[in-house]
Amino acid sequence: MAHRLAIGLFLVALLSPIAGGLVISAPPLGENRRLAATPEVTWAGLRDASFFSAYERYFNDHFIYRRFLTRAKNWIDFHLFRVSPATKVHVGLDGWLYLRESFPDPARESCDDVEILTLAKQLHELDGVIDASGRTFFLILAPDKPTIYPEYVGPLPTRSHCAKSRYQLLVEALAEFPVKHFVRLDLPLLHAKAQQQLYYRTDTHWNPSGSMIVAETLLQQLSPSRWREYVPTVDLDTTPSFSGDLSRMLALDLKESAPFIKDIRYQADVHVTTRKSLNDDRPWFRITAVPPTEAPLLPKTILYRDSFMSLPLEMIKGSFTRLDAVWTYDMLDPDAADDLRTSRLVLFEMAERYLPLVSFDVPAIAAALRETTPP
Amino acid sequence: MVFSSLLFLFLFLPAVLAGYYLAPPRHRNAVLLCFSYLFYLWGAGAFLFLLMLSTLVNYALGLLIDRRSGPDARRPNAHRWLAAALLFNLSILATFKYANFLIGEINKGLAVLDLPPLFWAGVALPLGISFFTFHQISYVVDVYRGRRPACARVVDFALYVAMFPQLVAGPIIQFHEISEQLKQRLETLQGFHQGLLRFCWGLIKKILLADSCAKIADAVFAQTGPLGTGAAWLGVFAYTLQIYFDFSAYSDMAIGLGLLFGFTFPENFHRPYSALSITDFWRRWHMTLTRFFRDYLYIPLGGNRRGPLRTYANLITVFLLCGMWHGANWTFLIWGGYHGALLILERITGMNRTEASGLPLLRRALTLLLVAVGWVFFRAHDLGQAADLLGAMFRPAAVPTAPEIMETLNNRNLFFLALSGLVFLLPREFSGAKLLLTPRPLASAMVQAGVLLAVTAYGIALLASEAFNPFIYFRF
Repeated sequence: MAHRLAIGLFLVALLSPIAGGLVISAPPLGENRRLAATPEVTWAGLRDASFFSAYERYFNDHFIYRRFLTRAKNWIDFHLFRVSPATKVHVGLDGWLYLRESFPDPARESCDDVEILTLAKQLHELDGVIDASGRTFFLILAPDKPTIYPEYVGPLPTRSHCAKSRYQLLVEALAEFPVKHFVRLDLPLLHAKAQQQLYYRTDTHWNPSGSMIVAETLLQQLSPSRWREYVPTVDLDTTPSFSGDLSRMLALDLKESAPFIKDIRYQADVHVTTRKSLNDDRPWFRITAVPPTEAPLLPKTILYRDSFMSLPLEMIKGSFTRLDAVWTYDMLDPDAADDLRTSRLVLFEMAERYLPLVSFDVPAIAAALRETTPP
Repeated sequence: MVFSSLLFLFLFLPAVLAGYYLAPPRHRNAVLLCFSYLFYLWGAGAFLFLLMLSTLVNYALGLLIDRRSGPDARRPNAHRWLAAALLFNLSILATFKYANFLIGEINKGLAVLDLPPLFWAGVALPLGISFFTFHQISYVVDVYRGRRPACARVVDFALYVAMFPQLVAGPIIQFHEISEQLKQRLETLQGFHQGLLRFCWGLIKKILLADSCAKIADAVFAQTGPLGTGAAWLGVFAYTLQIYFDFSAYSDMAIGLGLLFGFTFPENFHRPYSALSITDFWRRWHMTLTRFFRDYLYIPLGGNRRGPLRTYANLITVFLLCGMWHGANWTFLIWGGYHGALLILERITGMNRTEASGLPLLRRALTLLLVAVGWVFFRAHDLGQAADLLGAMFRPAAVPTAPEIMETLNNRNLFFLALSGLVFLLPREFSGAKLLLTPRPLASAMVQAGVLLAVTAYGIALLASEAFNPFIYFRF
């Protein structure tokens, strides 16, 4: 009887994924990647067995219990073994999670970073080119979480002899190749962190409190005399169930208590138009603001940005006559070419972790800007 | 396709079980053969044709040998057909497994002499070639020796060669051990149940124990820079555990799968790390390979019947070939020679005798140490890496542990490494698989089944999450 029961259970377990797969499809895990597609049957693929490996990838990706089993395994790894279930996420102290790529290269031999020096040189040249075109360039550098909160990182294996962050390295390089309007966010954030938590524990980004600091710092640099007029009134509340991008990368539902924007009131009427979707799911907004009085707003502006600016954007969007917020680092993106030509201010925000990936074709940008004059 | 994959567990296995048990008994071998060929095609692609061709040739040669080797026959040409069969099988092995290495080494020599290299386009290594060739050698020799008649049905013989549970990694089943089962066997519920438990046991060993140890061992063996003494020993012991749990797990799964289809395969491992000597180790490690070399090479060479010097020569020959069988590289040759030399040393000193041995714990520890040192050659990419690693093990140096190694030393890997390490300490006759199959009261059996189910589910969860690869955002 026991044998029959065990065998029955075994057979049910073996057959259920196929049987279930006929009825429903596997629920997604939210990995931000395309799952393997059904491979095409070709003679070459059969001969060199590449079809079979492709089919196996497809089968694995669409396995009906994949989400359930992955979450269960991750739960055990995280809660029982205290191990990060995703190699891209580092589990720090006191529930703080970090994106691995936000740490400096553990194998870095020294603080001499040719890539960062090259980038600083390009930024310096870009600043000159934009300035020569009659526009003003602002460089905004978003510090990664470990740069502001190194104390929660915990033990991290490294053999690097350089203790400096990429942020510090770029700041040092920019001393040699200066950019006139460099919006340093590390200093105000480091200063403010004693009073309030500025990053989410389970997310890579600033929380609303950190975003407010960022917005104020940016507006201060954009308009040193009138910046306070542009700061909106923001009402914050607290939610006990925030779960950030890093938590999602672990396929776990780790909750934290975090502030959220309950209400936001601008000095001007704000209109947002979603222009189009760039690079898959990255939004591209055009924001126009109309002030109730004759109070001047900041001129037409283009903002090249990444995910870090999502929340600060909410806080600065009532400050510009027109603001085109484009989620890209490519200043030559043809879709945004007209916006660049018609902007007076050029804001470029980039996250610290992407510094090694960013580069500019300065002569091409110069040529693009030469074609028109700013409004 | 490997046994520890979702595709095998949830697509191939249900399909083959359904196909097999729905087929009439007389067609079951044919069904199993078709699925075995599909299994091979999945991993080896067009090499399936090589497997089929070599099967047909050996089948034909077997018939030719058998016609002349009956007890009453004079068999004037049997030895010639046998020689042809051996030549054919060894040529296939030499071409596909050793030619790249051999011609590469010859070309190195020619380069030193400033002579042009030999032209050789290079060949890919067909999956499981060492195993299916040995099976076919076992067949023709057993038929020649008259231990068993040749297979009358080509399907039976092809199944013996290609049966998917043992096709790519053994155990090496000698023809006379299974020939009757190929003709007639009884599939029972009890056998199926035992096969099920054995398969799960192997799956757990592979996914939880072997793969956790592999992460540490791989990180150590991948180091190109200097290595500290502690890290070197850690890597070698992690590999010592990995190779045992990986290989014995595969054997467990193969034996379990065999039982699901009514076959009883020979055991392949018997607590090798509890061996009291290297001689004892080889009675417990990859037992089917040891038996193959003993029956088809060592004994025909004269074994230990022709005096000590000839015995030593036979031992070293067998172990050099055993090393080469594992792979075409100097590291395997050295590994084989190392074990052969240790066996000779044990014979000279009398340490090969385990019956009346004193200090068993010390002997176990020493044997383990010697075996672990041998694994350095087995695992190293080349002799240079083996020398570096042995240098790091025996020349104390305070080198900081590389971050790549530190990354692998997380709680999970360390827990399973420690759990695996129990194999060094458990009694010599202990067997996890036997413990699992021991009949027990219902309540106890239910608890055991529950634990086995939960651990297997965790193992399958590890498999399912292997492809889990989250990105913070779609890349720029």
